[in-house]
Amino acid sequence: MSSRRSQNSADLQFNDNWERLAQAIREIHKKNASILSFEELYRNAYNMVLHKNGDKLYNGVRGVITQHLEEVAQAQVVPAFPLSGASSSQTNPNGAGGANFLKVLKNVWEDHTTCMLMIRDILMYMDRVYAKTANVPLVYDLGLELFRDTIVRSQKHPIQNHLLDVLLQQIKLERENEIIDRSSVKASMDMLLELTDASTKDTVYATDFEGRFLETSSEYYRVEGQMLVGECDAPEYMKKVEKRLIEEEQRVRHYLSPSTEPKIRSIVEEELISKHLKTVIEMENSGLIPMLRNEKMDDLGRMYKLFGRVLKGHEEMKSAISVHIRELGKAINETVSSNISSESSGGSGDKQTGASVAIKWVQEVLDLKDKFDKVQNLALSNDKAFQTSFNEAFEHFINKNSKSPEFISLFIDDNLKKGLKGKTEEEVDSVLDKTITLFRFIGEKDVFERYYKQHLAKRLLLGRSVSDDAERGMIGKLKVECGYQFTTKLEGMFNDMRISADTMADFKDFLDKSVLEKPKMDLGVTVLTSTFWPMNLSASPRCNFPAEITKACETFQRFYLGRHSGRRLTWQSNMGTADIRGSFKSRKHDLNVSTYQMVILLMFNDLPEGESLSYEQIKGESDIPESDLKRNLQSLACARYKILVKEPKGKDINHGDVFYFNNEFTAPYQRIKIPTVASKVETEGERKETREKVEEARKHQTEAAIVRIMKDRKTMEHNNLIAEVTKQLQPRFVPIPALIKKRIEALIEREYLERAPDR
Amino acid sequence: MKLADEDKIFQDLLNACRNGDLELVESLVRNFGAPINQTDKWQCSPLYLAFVKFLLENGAQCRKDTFEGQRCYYGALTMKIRGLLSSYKYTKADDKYQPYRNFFSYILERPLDTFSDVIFKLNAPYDRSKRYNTLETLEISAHRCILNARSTFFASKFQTIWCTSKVIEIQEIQIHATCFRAMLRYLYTGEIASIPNSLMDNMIQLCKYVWLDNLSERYTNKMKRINQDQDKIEFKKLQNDFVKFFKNVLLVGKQFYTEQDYNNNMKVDGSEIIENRIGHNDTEPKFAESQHDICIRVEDEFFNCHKVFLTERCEYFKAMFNGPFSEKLLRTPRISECSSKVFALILEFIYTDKCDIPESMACEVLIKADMYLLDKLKSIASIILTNLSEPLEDIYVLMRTAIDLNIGRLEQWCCHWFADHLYEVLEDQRFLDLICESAHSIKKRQETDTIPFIDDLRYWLSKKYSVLEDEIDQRSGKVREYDGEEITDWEAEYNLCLRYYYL
Repeated sequence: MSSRRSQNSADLQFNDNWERLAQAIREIHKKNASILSFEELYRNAYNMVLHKNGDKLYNGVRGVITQHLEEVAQAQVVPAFPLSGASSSQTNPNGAGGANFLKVLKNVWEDHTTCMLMIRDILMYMDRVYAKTANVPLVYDLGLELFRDTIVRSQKHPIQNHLLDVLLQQIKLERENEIIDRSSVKASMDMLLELTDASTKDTVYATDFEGRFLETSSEYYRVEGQMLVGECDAPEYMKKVEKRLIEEEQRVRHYLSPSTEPKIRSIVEEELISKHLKTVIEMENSGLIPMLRNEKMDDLGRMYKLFGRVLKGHEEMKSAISVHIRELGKAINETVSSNISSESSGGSGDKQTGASVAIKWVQEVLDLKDKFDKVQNLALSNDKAFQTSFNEAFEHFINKNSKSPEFISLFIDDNLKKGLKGKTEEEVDSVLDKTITLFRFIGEKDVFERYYKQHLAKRLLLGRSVSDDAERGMIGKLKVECGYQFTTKLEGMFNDMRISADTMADFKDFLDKSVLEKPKMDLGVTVLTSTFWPMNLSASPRCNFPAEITKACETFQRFYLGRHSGRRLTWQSNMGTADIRGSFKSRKHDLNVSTYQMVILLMFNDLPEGESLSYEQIKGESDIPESDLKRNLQSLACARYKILVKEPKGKDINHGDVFYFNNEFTAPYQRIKIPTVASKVETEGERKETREKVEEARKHQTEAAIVRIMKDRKTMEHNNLIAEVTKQLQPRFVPIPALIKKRIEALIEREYLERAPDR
Repeated sequence: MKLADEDKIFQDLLNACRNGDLELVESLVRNFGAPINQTDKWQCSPLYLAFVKFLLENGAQCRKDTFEGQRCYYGALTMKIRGLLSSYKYTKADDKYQPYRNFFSYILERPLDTFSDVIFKLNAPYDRSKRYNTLETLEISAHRCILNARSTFFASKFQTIWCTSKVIEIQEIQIHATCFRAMLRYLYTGEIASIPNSLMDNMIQLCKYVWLDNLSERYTNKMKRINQDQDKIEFKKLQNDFVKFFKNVLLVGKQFYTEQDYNNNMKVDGSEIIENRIGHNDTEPKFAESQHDICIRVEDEFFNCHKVFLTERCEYFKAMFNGPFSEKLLRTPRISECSSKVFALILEFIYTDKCDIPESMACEVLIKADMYLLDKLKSIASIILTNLSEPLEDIYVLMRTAIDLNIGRLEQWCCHWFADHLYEVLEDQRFLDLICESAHSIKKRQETDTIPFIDDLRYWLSKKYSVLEDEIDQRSGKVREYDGEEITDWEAEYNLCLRYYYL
């Protein structure tokens, strides 16, 4: 009974206190807080909570705030609605009504939050004690919820619709380059961000606004993308896209939530880039290929940056560029092959052009490479992926040209021979460096090695090489690329040259000291180790030397074999040179000729004036192989210096031709070098021969690799073995499985290998 | 008195450690700042005795270079404990003063947000690197009350020549701003800020000027400058300065409310006139000895206070003075429903971070501490209450308070008491009401139907009787049976209560 009475009086007390508190909150809403006593209000609220009236207090506060907000909605927000209603954008093009609405809303929001802070201060004790135990939101959060439900998502008034429409309309206006009041838009966004959605625990911004914003944006950009693709050329299109991206990024920074940034970005990227990738790349006269052609680095760079934002963007670019490279490469290959064919039809007269075709080809490829390196550097920020795809494209077309190893070797040959003429050592070096990059693309490195060896041998023996350093530098580069193995033979060739020089010095001493009759001429011999050099020993060229020369040779042979027993010397008459003096009518000339030419010319020594020798006679006497003979006669009789006169005249040497010594020969210089047939593009026959040699070498290498692997593994699956062999041989050439298979079979036949019994 | 008090807490801690009462250890350390690194007369440190991990986590130190540290280390019972000992560094030590420390650093760093009331103008000394700015003056804001409490120099100056000045220009000596700031930091927090060597002379000159021999010594002596123990002493000294300031200046300076004042300054309805009413007879009204900027009326006493302390140490006052309410402009706001004695204790806590609460007032302080949201004061008060052997007030009032204010410790203590005096209260209607209320607090049916209050009682009962059990060596049977009887009794009563309630 007594408790009930006290209950009643407590109720009365509560009602009294509550009435004062409610009044105070109303005053706060009227911005009259300064007349209120904090101490009293706090104590009031404290007592209510202490006397277990926390829930009543809480609900009471909720009621007062709700009521206030509803009044505000009715009195302030609704009158500010933009005139035209929900679809405001048409009738209100400059969005002034919308801006005003946002301003009103901003004020309402600010008033509310300020009031809520005061109310929170008064009800601090309730927050601490009641809200925690009763598991209800703190009073400030309650205020936010009420604002959300009574203003932003009001059931009575279409505030939400208006708000979202106005916001989207403002953004659209800004996209169309109009100035809007960003601060009030931002205030609204902040408001939406601060409010949380009860069910999703996400912000109201995320639940109500963001989705619609993204939807309208993607629609907007879809239309714009289609329009722009139709109107602009590629560079302009990309500039516009770039601008849009920056704009959207700034928009997010200025008044949207940072969480929207990736989303809106991906929309712009999707609508403006992904969807129009191919169209832009393939735009006629302004797409990717024209940009490359005109070296528009800025545009390329922009394209790279923009397309990099989307999936597949770079893929598309890469494949387009690489197709382009292949096409250019193919064009280069075609001009070369057409040059060669036209040249071969033009006859074998100008063999120099054969080499020049090779040089031209390499130079063009190098230029192309330079160009794309530049693109890579300036526009593609050295993207590794692009580099690889470029390299693949180069590799593809370089290996399409079966002569590329030869061409590259020829190119190097040319540079090392001309060398310092007109170019500094650094320049040569840089050219060679670039050539090495081409060398990297070659699949058949062994073929290259073979040609290189041949060319090197000629340079060394004929003393054509300009600089030993340059030669060694080149070999060093090759060594870096392919390893020690690749260059041992080349280095061996250099070694032979050095040792020979020593040997010759010793030979001179030997001759000085010896009592033997001295040969009538100086003899220079280079002793070559047969395995290092590309000469064919078994078929050493036949040639009958005149007696004196034979004698001199024999002297040397005796000297050499005396020092190194057990060695065999074979004379490579096709590689030597000789200095002879020829007496012509007007004057004497020193002629530098090849060994063969010397042999031929010496025949005319014994011939009385006016007599002639026929082709057959020369061939019979000298026993020089036919192709060599023809070439040497050609350079003696048909080239610039006509030491011999041919009858009938003509460029080609045929059976039955007759030769006279040209006594009338004149030349401005004392010393004349009769050009030997320089290194040149091989004829079809030679190529076939080289090919065969290479194939032969490959067989051995393959077998060696197989044996090496099998020694290590003992047993191995067929497929694994093939894979392993391919891997090992890769740096030299790309073996075809059939070849490996054949070699394996051959090895089994010869009982190096056997099939495992259980298979 | 003070010493005895700390001693007692420490003894409690040791005993709790011995008995394995983690709960008590926890509350002693958390709430009352029991000195966990002290040793008793046998050089036993609490760590030696007990919950290694808990103590370590709360900052207990086990250093191998001290005797008791060695003992802990070698006395460790298992390798696991030894590993724990060596893995903990003593970085977390001294947590208990953290909020108080933070308060001083905060007001030092943001004087303008915290009612600073004085500005020092320094003539920046001639600086060779910047040739043309010799006329530049620097303004540094500070709080009079802090300087007053911490420095005799400033205290005497504030009494005399600076007594009315809002802006103070120091012209006697050239002071570099860095040095002045370092001095302020020392005065505010007891910390020694690092000073570039080039300014050391200036710093020492300043120290002499403001009579801080101690500080100048620490700057001259490198060994002392970086020294944690020294820092601790400084902080203790700082706290003591404020204790002195509070006791000697603020409490002494409080004034009494007279009828005349009432007539002069009260309008109808108790609302006060917004005007300075304290020093209306003085010629220099603004800064009295206490340097207060607010005067709080409680019952019929006026407490001279400083907004900086009130607002930054207590959320309640922060809202009161920083908010837009009427108190913001009043010079003598009034606090109702609080006795002036209790308010003095609250102020003591606010100013000094500690509080000697007479046992008789503990309960009242507890309630007010709760109202003003001072959690630490609340736990100090509750520890005092629970260290009593018998309640000074009605046990039911205490229990009520404990439940209302959600103070677990006090609630447990009450339960303990009930368990000890079960026969006296068993028939008391208020006791039954408590059970009934506790039963009512269960909202859903749990897996095992229990009533929290009964559970607690049972726990204390079992504690009580398990000791007896050992002594009389009478296992099981009787005691358990006894327990059982009690429980059925309660359950019967509880059922009755419920029935009564539902009716």
